[in-house]
Amino acid sequence: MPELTSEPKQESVADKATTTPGSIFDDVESKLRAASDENTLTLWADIRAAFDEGGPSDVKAVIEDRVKHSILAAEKDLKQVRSVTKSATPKKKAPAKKVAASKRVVKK
Amino acid sequence: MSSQKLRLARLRAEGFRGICDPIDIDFHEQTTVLSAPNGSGKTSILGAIEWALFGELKYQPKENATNDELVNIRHRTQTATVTIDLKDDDGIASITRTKKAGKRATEVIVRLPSGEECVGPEANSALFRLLGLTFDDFYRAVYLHQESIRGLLTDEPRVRNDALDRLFGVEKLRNMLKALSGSTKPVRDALNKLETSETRATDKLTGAVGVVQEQWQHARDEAEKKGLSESELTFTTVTKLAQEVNGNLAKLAEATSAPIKDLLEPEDADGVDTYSRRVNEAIKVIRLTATNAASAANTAKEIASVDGALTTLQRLSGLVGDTKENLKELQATYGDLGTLAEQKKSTEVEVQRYREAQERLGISERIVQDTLTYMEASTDETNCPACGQEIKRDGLIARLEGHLTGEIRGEIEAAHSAEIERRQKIGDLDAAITKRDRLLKDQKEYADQFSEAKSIARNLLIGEVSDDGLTEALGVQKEKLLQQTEIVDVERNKREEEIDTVLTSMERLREIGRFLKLDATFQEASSRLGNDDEDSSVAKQQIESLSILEDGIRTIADVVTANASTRARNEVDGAQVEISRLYKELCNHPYFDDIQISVESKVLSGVESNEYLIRTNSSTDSRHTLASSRLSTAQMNCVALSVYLALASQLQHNLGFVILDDPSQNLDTEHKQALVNILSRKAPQLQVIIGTQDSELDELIVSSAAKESFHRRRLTWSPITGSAVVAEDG
Repeated sequence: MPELTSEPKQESVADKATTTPGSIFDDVESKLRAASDENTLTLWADIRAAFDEGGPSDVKAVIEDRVKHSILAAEKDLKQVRSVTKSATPKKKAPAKKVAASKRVVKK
Repeated sequence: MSSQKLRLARLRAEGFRGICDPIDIDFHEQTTVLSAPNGSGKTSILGAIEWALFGELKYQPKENATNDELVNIRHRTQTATVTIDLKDDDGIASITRTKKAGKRATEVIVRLPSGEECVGPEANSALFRLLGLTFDDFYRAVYLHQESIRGLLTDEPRVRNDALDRLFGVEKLRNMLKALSGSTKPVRDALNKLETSETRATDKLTGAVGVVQEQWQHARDEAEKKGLSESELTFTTVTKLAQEVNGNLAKLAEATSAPIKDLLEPEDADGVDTYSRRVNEAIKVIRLTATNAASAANTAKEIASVDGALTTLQRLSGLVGDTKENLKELQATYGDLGTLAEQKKSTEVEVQRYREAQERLGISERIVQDTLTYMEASTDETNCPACGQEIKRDGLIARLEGHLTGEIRGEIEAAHSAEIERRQKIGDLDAAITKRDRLLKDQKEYADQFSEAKSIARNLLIGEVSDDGLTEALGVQKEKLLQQTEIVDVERNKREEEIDTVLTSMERLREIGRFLKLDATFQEASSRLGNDDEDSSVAKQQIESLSILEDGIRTIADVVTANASTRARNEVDGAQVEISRLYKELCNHPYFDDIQISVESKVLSGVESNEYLIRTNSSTDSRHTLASSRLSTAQMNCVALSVYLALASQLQHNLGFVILDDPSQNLDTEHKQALVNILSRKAPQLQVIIGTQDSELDELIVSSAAKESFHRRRLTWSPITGSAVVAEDG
C-alpha cells in the first residue's frame, strides 16, 4: 500500500461501515454506554437520531418537545389540583336566597 | 476488497450546475489538470464528483427545498445527470446520480465491479461500503475546497477554529454541543416554573384541605342536629328521601291538577342542588295552580269593593241626613228660607228709618237746647220774642228741660237701640243666607254621590235591590265572600301541611347532600395531597422527568465536550509530523521553519470549544510566535495546504485520489513549485485532480512531469452549452 496506509490513530471509517454508517458519535455513544444510565442512553439515541436527521435545530426540537410534553402533562395535573383546591375553598357568601316558606294562613 | 484504492477513471455529466450539454472527461491515473479561466465550470466538474458520490454539496447554499440550484437552468429536460467511473484492480464501479428540477429526490444507481447493480437505499449503503468514508471525512481526506482554505486564512479566531474543527473532524461534535447548550436553559426554566407552580398549588391545596375538613365536621354536626345519624349520611338516604318527596309531590299534583313533570332522583351528591331547585319549582307550580291566584285575587278584590261600597253608602247616607237636619233647623229659625233676602232688605229699610228718626230727634233736641240756653241767658224777657205772648219763664224752662231729658232723649235712645238691633239682624241674615247656600250645595253633591254609590253597589249585587235594602244586601254579600275565602284558606292550610312535609324531607335531603359533597371534596382533596412517602402526582413525576432530562443533557454535553477535545488533540498529534514536514517544504520560510498546532479548551458563549493555536517556530534560536501574526497570506495558505495534505494521509479509506480546487491562491512561483513537487511525489500512489485558473501552476505541472503521467483538460463555457472540453493534451 502507498504511504496513505500509515496507521491511523482512530478507528477505521471503513470498519464502521459494517455496523452503521460510520459516525463521530460512535465514540461518544460508547463512552455514554460505559458510564450512563438507561435514561441518558435513550436521550442520546433520540438526540443522535435527530442530529442525523436534521442537525442542531432538530436536536433542540427533540429536547423542546420533551420539555413541552412535561410542561403540558404537569400543567394538566396542576390544573386538576387547582380545580380541587377551588372546589374545596369556601366561596364568597352570596346573598341569602329566599327559601320557600310555609304559606299557611293563621286566623287572627 | 482490492488492495488498490479506487481511482477516478471517467466523468460524464449533463444538466449539472454550469454544465448544460453532455461532457465526458477521462482522468489520468496520476494527475489531471482542469485548466480554465474563472467561471468556466471547474468547480462544477469537481462538484459533480462530490454530488455523484454523496448526493450533496457542502458549500453550496440551497436555493429552495428541492435544491434546484443543482440543475442547469438551460438544460432541455431540466435534469442533472452525473456518472462517474471508479477503477481498482477488481474492475470499474459506476455511480450514476440523477435529479429533476422541482423534485426533492435524487436517484442513484451503483454498479459494482462484480456487475451487481444497486438502487435506492441499497445503493447508498453499497456506496458507503465502496468508498469507506463519510461526507465530512471526504472533505478532510479527499477534497480541498476553496472554502476550507479560506477559513484557515481568516483573522477571525472563531471562524478559524470552526474551519480547523471541520478539518480535524469535530465539527459535528461542536454543533451537537451548541445544540445541547442551547437546550439547557429551556429545561432549567421549565423546571423552575413547574417547581414553583407545584409548590404553590400544593400549599394552596393543603390550606383548602384544612378548611374543608372544618366544613365537613360542621356539616356533620348540623346533620346530627337535624336528627340525622351518621349512618344516614349516605347517598342511599338521599335516594330514599327523594323517592318520598317524589311520591308526595305526585299526590299534591294529582290533588291540585298541577302540571308538573316527574322529577328524576339525584344521581349523585352534586345532583342534589338541581333536584332541590326542581322540587321548589314544582311546589311553586302546585301552589299557583291550587290557589288559583286570579280567582283568589278577584274574591279579595270583590270583598274590598263590597266593603268600600258599604262604607261609602253609610257615610253618604249620614251626610245627606245631617244636611237635611241643618236646613230644617235654619228654616225653624228664619222661616221660609227663600225670603231671607227680602227679610234682609226690609230690615235694612227699618235701619234707615230709625236713622232718620234719630236725625230728626237730634234737631228737636238742639232747638230745645238753644231755647233753654236763650231762656236761661235772657232773664229779663217776659214775652216771647217771636210771638210777643207772655212767657212764664220758670215754668217754660222746667217744661223744656223735662221735654228734652224725658221725651226727646228717650226717643233718640229708643231709635238708636232699634237701629242696632236691626243691624244685628242683618248680620244674622247674611250668615243664614251663606249657610243655606252651603247646605243646599252640599245637599246636591251628596245626593249625586249617593246616587252614584248606589249605582256602584247595585253593580256589586245580583238582582234588583231597593235603595233602602242596598246596605243590608251589601253586608250579606260581604259575609258570603268571607265565607268563601275561609273555605279556600282551610284547603290551603291542608295543602301547605303536605308541602311542609315535602320541605322537611328536602331540608334533610339537602343537609345530607351538603355533607356528601363536602365529604367527596375532602376525600378528593386529601387524596390529591397524597402522602409524603410517595411522589404520586403527575406534576412531580414530570418535574423528576425534566430533572433527569437536564442531568442527561449535561452528561451528554460533558462527554461530547471531552470527545471533541480529545479527538482534536489526537488528530493534531497524529498529523503533526507530516504537517511540519509539508510546511517546511511548501513554505520554505527563512526563519520560521517549523509549525506546531496545539489545541486548548475555551468557553465561548457558555459552550466549551476547541481553540487551535498555530505557532511558527524558528529552529535556529527556538523562538516561536503565532503564525497568523507573522506569516503572510501566501504563507498561511501554505499552512492550510500542509494541514490538508497531512490529514489526507491520516485517514484510512478506499479512495485513491485527492481533489484540489484552486490550491495555488496567493502563492508565488517558488511556493507553487514546492506544491507541484509534493504532488508529483505523491502522484504515482495518489491520483491528483486539480482545478486551476493559474496558468503558471499549469505550466509548472506540465514541465515537472512526464507527458504520459498527466492529462490536461482545458475548459470553456458558453451560456448555451455550459462547460465544454476544448483541448486535451498530456
